[in-house]
Amino acid sequence: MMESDDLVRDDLARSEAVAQEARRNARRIELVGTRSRAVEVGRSRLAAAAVMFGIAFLVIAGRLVDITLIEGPAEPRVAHSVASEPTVARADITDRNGVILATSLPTRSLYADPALILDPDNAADRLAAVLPELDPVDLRAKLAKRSRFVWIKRNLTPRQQAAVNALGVPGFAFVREERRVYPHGALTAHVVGFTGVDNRGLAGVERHFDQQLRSGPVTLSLDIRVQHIVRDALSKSVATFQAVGGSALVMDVRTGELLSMVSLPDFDPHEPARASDDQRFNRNTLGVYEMGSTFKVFTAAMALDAGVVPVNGGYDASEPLKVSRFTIRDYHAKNRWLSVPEILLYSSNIGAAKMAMAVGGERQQRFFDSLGLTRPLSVELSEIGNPMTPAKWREINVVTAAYGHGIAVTPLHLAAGVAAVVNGGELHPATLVKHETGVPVPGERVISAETSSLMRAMLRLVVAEGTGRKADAPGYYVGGKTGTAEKSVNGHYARKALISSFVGMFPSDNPRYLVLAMLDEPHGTKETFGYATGGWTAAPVVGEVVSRIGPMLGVVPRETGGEPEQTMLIKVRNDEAAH
Amino acid sequence: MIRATMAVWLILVLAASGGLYYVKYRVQRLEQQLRTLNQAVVREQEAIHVLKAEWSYLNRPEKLAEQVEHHLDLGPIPGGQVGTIDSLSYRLPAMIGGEMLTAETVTQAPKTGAQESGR
Repeated sequence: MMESDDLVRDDLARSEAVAQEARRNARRIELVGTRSRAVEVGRSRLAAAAVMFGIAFLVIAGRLVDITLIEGPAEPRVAHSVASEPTVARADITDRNGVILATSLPTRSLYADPALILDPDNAADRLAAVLPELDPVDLRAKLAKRSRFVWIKRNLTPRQQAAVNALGVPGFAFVREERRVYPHGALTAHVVGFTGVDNRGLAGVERHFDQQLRSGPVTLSLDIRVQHIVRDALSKSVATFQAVGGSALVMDVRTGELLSMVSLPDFDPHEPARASDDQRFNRNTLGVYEMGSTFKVFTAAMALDAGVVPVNGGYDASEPLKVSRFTIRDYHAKNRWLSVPEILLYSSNIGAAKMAMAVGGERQQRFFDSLGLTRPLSVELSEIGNPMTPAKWREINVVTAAYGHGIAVTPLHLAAGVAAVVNGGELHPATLVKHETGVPVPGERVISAETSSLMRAMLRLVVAEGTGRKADAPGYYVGGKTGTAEKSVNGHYARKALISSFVGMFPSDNPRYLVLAMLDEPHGTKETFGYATGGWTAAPVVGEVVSRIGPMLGVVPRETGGEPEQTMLIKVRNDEAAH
Repeated sequence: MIRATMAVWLILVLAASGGLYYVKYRVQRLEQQLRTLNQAVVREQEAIHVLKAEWSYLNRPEKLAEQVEHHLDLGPIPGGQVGTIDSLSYRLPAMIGGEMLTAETVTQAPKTGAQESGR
């Protein structure tokens, strides 16, 4: 310690001496008088100039560093890649597995500059020779015009383009354009829609997502394989029963996603102008129909959920019901007391009517509201039908709405409502956009989980024992409800013009998918003994669709024979067996 | 002394301008190359785009169904043909205890398998 202190003291003394020496030296060159002042001025000016130059250099150096290193050069440091840029202005529409449903292909359009054409007649004849679909007379008139630009033909094939180039006639030129192409044609026509000549969406998803398609692709919830199966089954049925049309859809009951939506007759989306209004009409979302007995699903769910009747309770359906000046009869009349499951099983109008009356009009109206049956759909299409509901909810409206008359909704309304009844009681709005896996789906509770479970069991019973037997698919435990409604023509119900439908779901104990089929004015055949009701015409479509899409969608079928565990036991008096 | 410094500076200036010249022309060449490549990429992308559309067109389910009917002996999968790995009831004897597969163990397989799955 002592030693280091001494060292420090030594050091201080030494530096003190150096400073004194320096002061002495400075005094030595210090001058006095005017001369000294001149030197001082010169020196300070020099110093000022040096400082200024120094600052200037520093600024330049700083800016140089800023430009080259910090701010970054105008040229991108990493080579710019064109690979990330879209090749076309309007993006693709794909199905849930990435299959292209609509895409834009680059094409060339031919135009002419008449001022550059020396011999219009000759040029017109030669052009008409390679493009035979053009009218030579019309072409001559066009080429003789006194303008600088006339369209000749849009969207040429590469071969046609080469042929025109090979003519070597001056004055013709091409513009790069895009053409919307639908590889699957009519299969998805109603959902995907179509665009006009200027590639603006005019219908379907193309119209709804017109803006979004300009910035990026749209992935739909459709599955093209399911779509094909549904269309195949439906078109066979439409042909067999000589129906004027039909519609069918498949919905994921847990998310509201539509895996398929088919409306027949359909059209070629490449030439929408050639299609009739009927072909372009989307029966699933634009058509509103009195859906008939399928509404009994809602009536039963509502009555059970409200607690006005227990599941083993029932109503007397032995006599037709008179409400004001109307008489309600049963189609499959049993003429006795029916339990709630039996009302669905035999599709009893009287039973459903009494159930609805017990619930009351106000609650019924509220229930229909909560299922979204009274307002337009929010699905991503431009063709949305407005449901038709009674202006005043009178007693007769309560009664008829119980079995699906006097209220008209689209098939998609019905599907979304039934999905909510069977999926545990939550309503998910129907959607055409693919739902990301793992993200919870928002839903609104409409009935309790217990009621939903009861409804599933009863709907299974309808297929296992009741009017919907033809909708069953081995191993899949389909549950559902038939519906047959008479079409209202000029204010009267036409006995022969029916809307026959079936709404089904599978597997009944824990439904994954809902399948709805509807036929517009089907006619009975020998095989159906002349019947054209939902159970005979639409139910087989659902059965076929389920048995074909089940394995595809990964729903594992179970051993046939027994019923799924959750099925409750319902005592059904089987009249046919007894008599 | 001054001359030597001048010479050093001159050499530095020459080296710098030479370097600049070399780099500039190299960059130009590379840019030209990049342009050609980009054009080629765009052409290829357009081709891929068209081919994708064609692929989707050729894979229309109705077309595939027709082709399958003509050329293959396949039909729609009935429910009974669908199963899961879990539904397989027993493991092969070779997997149990790491023993070699012999004729004896194979014949014993169902028994051993039942015990194994029962655990």
